[in-house]
Amino acid sequence: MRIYGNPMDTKLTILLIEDDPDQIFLYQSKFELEGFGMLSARYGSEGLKLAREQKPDIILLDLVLIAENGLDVLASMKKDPLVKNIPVMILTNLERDDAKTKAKELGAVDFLTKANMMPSDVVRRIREILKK
Amino acid sequence: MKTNAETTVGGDKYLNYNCWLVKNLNYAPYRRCQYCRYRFRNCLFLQYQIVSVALAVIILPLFFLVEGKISALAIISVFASITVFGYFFNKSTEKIIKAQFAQEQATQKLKELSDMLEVKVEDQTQDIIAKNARLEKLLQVRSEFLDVASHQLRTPVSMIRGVLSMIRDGDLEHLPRDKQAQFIENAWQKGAKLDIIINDILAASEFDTQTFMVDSHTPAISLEDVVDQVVKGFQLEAERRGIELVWRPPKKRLPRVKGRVNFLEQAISNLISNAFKYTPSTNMVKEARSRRDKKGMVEVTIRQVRQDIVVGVSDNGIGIPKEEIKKLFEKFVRASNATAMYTDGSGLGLFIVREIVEGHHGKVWAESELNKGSTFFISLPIASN
Repeated sequence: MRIYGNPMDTKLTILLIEDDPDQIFLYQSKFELEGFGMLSARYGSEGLKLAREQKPDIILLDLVLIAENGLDVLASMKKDPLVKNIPVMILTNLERDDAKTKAKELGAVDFLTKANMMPSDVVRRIREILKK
Repeated sequence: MKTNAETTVGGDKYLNYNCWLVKNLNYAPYRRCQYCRYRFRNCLFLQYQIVSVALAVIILPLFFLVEGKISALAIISVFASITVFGYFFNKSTEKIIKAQFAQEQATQKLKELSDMLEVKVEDQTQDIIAKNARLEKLLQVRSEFLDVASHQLRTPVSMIRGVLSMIRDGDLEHLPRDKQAQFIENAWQKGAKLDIIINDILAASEFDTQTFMVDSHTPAISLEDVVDQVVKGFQLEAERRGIELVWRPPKKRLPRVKGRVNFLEQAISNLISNAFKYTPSTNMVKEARSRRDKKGMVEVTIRQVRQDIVVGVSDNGIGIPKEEIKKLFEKFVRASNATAMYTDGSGLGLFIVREIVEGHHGKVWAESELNKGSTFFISLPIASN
């Protein structure tokens, strides 16, 4: 887990929870180019800890993590008083309706499929959500 | 008693033993009693007897009145007429009784046919229910499989497109040189992985259209022969990778198992292929330096354990954390320490193995020790004759 930029300044910070290091590399490069601060974690527990400590502006969460289900992580986040108000966007390749419904039920603000949304689309969506 | 088929309709079982005539006379006027068994008042024989007695009671006194005595002629003629009456009575009631009997027989036959039909329908229904259950299971397996397959395909595709989209947007130029190179390399690797995944999916979908489930028609095969073939197929790759592939065929013929050769070949092939991936190999570039000193070894064993034949595939690789072993055979999970090494797996291999083995009424499991190695076991029940 690495922290790019200084989350203390007015730059917006994104926390990405994703198990594939290549994908982290891809999004990290894009987000930093776009002027975001970036945090990343490969495990739900790590991600939760980072969220509590660093208070990112938005969390991007994959559903298929190593031996873990992203929906469980989402549930834990929404139960945690320190974290529950941070918007969570699901960013995954799992195109299942029941996953989408569950995620929305648990309080995810959006559900994006990586295959359909390119990094620039993701950035645009993030900006839309953070404007609200 | 006449015993030809026409007159003794039904025989003994039609005797009404509640008929006082049968009981008291110990007499079986068969033709009458078939009718009598319904109602006493319907007893034709009794009616006959009553009419006869009435005849005698009426006619004899008449004779007496007319002639002043009952002559022998009178008695003879009365009994002669009773007998004649009886004969014609017999003949006519026989027809009724035969008709009754025929109707009864027809009803009986109808009932039998109807029962038989019910049994047949029940059998067919059970058959359809069983077939339905199997189809549902197949559909479920197929739908699970499609979920796995589509997810596995989307992952590399999204990466490749992501990288390309950033190149299109002109983002790549703004990254430092080394990052640019890594970007392109990542996309390249994902492209190679895509090819492997597609092959795995095609292989698995071939099985999907056939049946996974072993049934009574499945032939009994020799598992050690299957393993032998598969191991032979891997020898070239073992040499190329610098891995020692060890296979010790059993000295004595092991009992056979019920199964399909092509499926079991695929299952064992997947295990050995996995073992190759996670075993230290002198030709692997991205490996940690320490690993390269250890010679990679994959050992395949087969033995009988009580009523099962157990095949084991061991490697001396990185091992799997205990908590993750159970989840390995589920859809998406790869062990957490696997991503540290170069892995070109599609993530489908073990899922396919589990489906095949469970379809063969067998079990698959793994044992492992971190940094020592892992062993994957397939156990199949011995075919009972």
